[in-house]
Parts: sequence; structure tokens; C-alpha cells
Amino acid sequence: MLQGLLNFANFQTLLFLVVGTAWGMLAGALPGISASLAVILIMPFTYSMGAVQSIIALVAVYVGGMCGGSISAILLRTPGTPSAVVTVFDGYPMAKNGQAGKALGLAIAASAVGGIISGIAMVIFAPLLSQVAMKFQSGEFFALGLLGLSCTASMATKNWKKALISGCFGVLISTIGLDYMSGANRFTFGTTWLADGIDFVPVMIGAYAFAEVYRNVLKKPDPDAPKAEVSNGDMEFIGPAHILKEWVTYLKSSIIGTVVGIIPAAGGSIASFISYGEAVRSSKHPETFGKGEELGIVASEAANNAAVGGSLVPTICLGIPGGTVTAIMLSAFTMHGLVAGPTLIRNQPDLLFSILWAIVFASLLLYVIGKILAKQFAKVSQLDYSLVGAMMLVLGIVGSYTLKGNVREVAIMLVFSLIGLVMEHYGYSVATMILGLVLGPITEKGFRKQLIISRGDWTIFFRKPICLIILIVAVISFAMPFIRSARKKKAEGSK
Amino acid sequence: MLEMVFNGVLAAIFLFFIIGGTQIPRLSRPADIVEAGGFPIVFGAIGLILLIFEIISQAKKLRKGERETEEAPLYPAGAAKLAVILAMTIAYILLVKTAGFAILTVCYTFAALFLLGSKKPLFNAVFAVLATLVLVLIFGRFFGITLPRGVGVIKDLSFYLY
Repeated sequence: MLQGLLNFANFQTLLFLVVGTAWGMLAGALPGISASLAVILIMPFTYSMGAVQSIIALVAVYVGGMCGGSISAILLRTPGTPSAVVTVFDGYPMAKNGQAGKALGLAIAASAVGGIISGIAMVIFAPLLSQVAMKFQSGEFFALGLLGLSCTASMATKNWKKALISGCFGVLISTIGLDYMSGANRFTFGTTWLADGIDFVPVMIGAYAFAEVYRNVLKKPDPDAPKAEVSNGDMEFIGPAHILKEWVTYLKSSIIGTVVGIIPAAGGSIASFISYGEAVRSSKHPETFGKGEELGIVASEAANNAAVGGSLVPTICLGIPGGTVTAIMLSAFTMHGLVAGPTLIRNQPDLLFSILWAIVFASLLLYVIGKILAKQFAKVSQLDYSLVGAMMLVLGIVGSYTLKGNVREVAIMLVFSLIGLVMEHYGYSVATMILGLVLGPITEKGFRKQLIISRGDWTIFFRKPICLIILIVAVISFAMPFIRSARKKKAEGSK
Repeated sequence: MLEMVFNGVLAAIFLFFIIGGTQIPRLSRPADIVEAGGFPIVFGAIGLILLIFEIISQAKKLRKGERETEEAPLYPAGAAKLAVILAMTIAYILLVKTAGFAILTVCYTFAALFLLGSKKPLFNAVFAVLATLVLVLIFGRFFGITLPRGVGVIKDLSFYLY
């Protein structure tokens, strides 16, 4: 562990760490630039570095990138990265209420805590966790998807039926395109235009950023209306006092993020959805979520940054990358002559600890870099609305276009901007629609693949222990809001 | 009342997925019991059933004179602005391959600024050019993302920028 720390005892490594974190945050804050793209773009600069230094730099970019997405999510209602979608739910309402600084501070604090906890978990439980993660097969993925979808009811703040309808709508949209198992065209109207399916990033940009501009445009100007409080652009420091006060949410979200991060192909987006759903479910005031609830930001950001440490577990311990970023990191390992897997931990334990320290230091650096970066971004909220609105529109278009380098995504974004506007107007939940869109394919793929493997035997989902446990948790998670509501009604009735 | 219309549209969408799901050809393996149409049918049906319950409860409320969501009167100037934003974005989508990213983004930003209330033409023009330049440099040059170049002279000129 000390050797891992000593690897940082030179100026160059520290510089790479700082530059890497800053770059990751900046790239993450820009819609259309994901954490994986940020890591890819910095890769060429790491060729000439030493093995440990290059891995430290890449980890720093990854940590920064996961956190950076929250900045534009909070200030512009446009998540910089897919993992920051959930941060919009409460971050933007807080910014609108003049609490942008606090929202940014919460996002940074939660990201730092999530990152550090996942780093520690990575070192302590790496071999054990990776073995469990490798038991995850299609059935478990189906159960995990269902667990995420079960949060739909928890996320309903007003009308659970509308939240579930929105969730179903999201799942249905996710089925559009070429079926990945049979190759059949589904709801493509015979065109190749929809064969690729509908990605959730343009949907999210349209339903949130564009729809927000529409809402402002549709509002009749009221000269007598009190002027909204504007943030001074300073990120509020959220220190140990808040973390200790809300330690349950910080810890729970970090654990969820770490565990989901370990599972190959899961990642930060799913982690933040599940964590958010759990935060709503376990809250005494679930009705405050989606309206600027501080714990909503904590749950989302702690989980998506915790997924960083988690996703590195199978990569380092087994040499199996769980996602795009870890696949890039694995190639960096190979480039520097390192062979990821059990032998790596045995032969070069200092590397594992260096990664841990890189996560810890980068997470702490988020406070410093976040303060500088957020101040620049937060100036946006002080600008005249015509500038902010125009920037939201242009960034929405660019963010959608850069996803696949195709105007098709811009068209999809435009369609969903209208759908999002109408849905929110009539009390339907855009959040659960996106949840359905993200988790629909994971659930469907897992379900059908497992049935093929088990030759059509349905009982397989109840015979696999991990799968069964997750399914039970999903059922409890789904039923909990209804049970709580029934109890509340009973209590009110008895009064 | 308009909410009922929206619910009707949603019901039609759910029905479309249910019916469409039954018509997807069976191409997968025999053990794939649910096939490609299974999920759309199941989730379409769940959504439709819930929607019917929602419509019934709304109809009851309407009869009682209650309203869950207040339907604010349409602000005509706002609706016109929304229509212009939509038209602008559609034009952007249709023209970007011909006119190129840089020129069209300048025009779009300028028009959006004007539409959203900034009535200073010189400021709008400078802001639109600078914002586009920053975007082109970040996405086109720095990140190396292929932005549409347009055709003819516009295409040739674009190589100086990105």
C-alpha cells in the first residue's frame, strides 16, 4: 500500500493526476463527450508515460469524467454524460431555486465519497467481488434490469399509474429497431432509418433540455413576478458534517454503485437509476424527490462515481473489461506490458494500490477543480435567458449529433422534445420513460438469452440463487411504495 | 379535456405496439419462447391496462368537476415562438449536410437569440459567430468529430476551420 502511495511522490505523476482529473471534468461537462471518449482522447498522451503513470492518468480522467457530467446536468438541464441523467431530476430544480452552488457542491461531495468508497472496496474485496460478478449471466441481468424497473413506482411522486405508464412507454421505445437475437425488424416501418434503434441520449436531451426551452417560451411574461434568485456561481463546500449527517444515503449509494459497476456491461447509468430509486423508496419524504431534493443528487452522483472503482475490479482481477472505459484501460495495460488478471495482483500489488490512491486523490481533487470549473459554468445561470436558452438549443443539437455523427439523432431529439413537453404537462414522468428506455434492452436480452440457454425452462430464474435474491428485492422494491401508501392511509383513517 | 386526447394518443401507441408485436415474423430459435414480439406485447398490454384505469379515474374526476392538471390557456406568442423553434430545427436537420455545420450553426444561434428575446443584432451576430467558433474548435478540431462540411465552396472553406 505504501509502495502504491510512493508512486505519487514525483512531480510528473501528480501533474498527470491533476491534468487528467481536470480534463475528465471538462470533457464530462460537455454534452456529447462521454467519459469513454475523454479517456480515448487522452490515450495517445499516455504512450510515452510509464505503466503506473499512464494508468493513474487514465483513472483520473475516468473519475473526473463521471463527475463532470453533473455540472451541465445541474446548470443547463443537459447531462454531460449518460450517467448524469438522474442528477438532472433534482439538480436542475435546485439550480432553478437559486441553489446551483449547493447542488454542484453536493454532486462533487457525493462523487468524491462514492469514488473513495469504491476504491477502498476495490482493494479489499477485489478478488471476491470479481468471482461473484462472473456468476452474473443472462438471468441475473434480467433480474437486475427488473430491479431497476421496479424503481418506477418509487419514482412516482404524484401519480403511480402515470409513472408506470411512462416506464412502459420507455420500454416500448427501446424495442424499436433490429432485434438483436432474431434480426427481425421491429416497428421500423420497413425503413433502415429506425433499424439502429433509439438511443436514450438524444431522447434525454430532447425531453429535458429542449423541452425546458419550450416551457420558458410558452410562459407568458409576467412583469410583476418576483425575480428568481440567481446563484452567484460559487460552488458551496459540502464537507464532512453533511456527509456524516446523511451517511446512510452516501454509503448505500456508494455500495450500490460499486456492486453495479463490477457487473460487466452495467455501469454508472444503471447504478444511478437503481440508487436513486432506492433513495426515494427509503425516504420519509419521497414526494420531495424530483423537486430539488438534495439526497437525490447524492444518490445519483455517489453511485455513478462508485461505479468507477467497481468497474475496475473485473478488469484488474480477471482481465475482463466491463465496459468501454475499462476496455480502453485494458489496452493501456497491454501496451505497457502488463497482463491483467490474478497474476497481476500477485506480481504487482503496488499497481492495485496505485489505482486506489489515484481514485482517492482524483476524488479529492474534484473539490478543487470542480470549484474552478463550476464557477465558470455557473456564470451561465447569471446570463440573460436568451443566451442560456440559445446555448441549450445549440448544445442540444451538437450533443445529439456528435453521439453517432448523424442528423438522425437530432431528429429523434426533436421528436422527444415535444413528447417530453406534453408528458410533463400532463403529469407523466419523463424520468421513468428514460428508465424504461435504458433498462428495457438489458431486461429483454437477459430474459430471452436465459430462456434459450435453459431451453425454454422458466423455472431457471428461481433456481439461480443470485437471480432469485435480486428478483425478491425487485418485488419488495416495487411493492414498498404501495405498502407505505396503504399504511399511511390506514394511519390517517384511524386518526 | 386535452389530456384525454393525449391519453387517447398514448392508448393508440400502446395498441400499435401490441398489434405490431403479434405481426413480427418468428425468426429466432425454438427455445426463445417470447420471440421478438414478446416484450412489446407484454409492456404494451401493461401500459394499456394502466392507461384505461387512468382514463376511468380521470373521467370520474371530470364528472365531479375536479381537475388533476390545470390546463393553462395557450399563450399565442409563446406557441408561435415554439413553432418557429421547431421549424428552425427541422430546417437545420434538412440543410446541415448542404450548408455545413459552421454556417448553419451561426444562423441558428443568431435566430434563437433573437427569438428568445435578445434584440441586439450586433451582439447576437458576434455571439453566434464566437459560440460557433468555440463549438467547431472543441468538437471539430480538438475532439476530431466529423462535423458536416456542406457542399461546394462551403466544403472547401470548412477545411480551414475543422
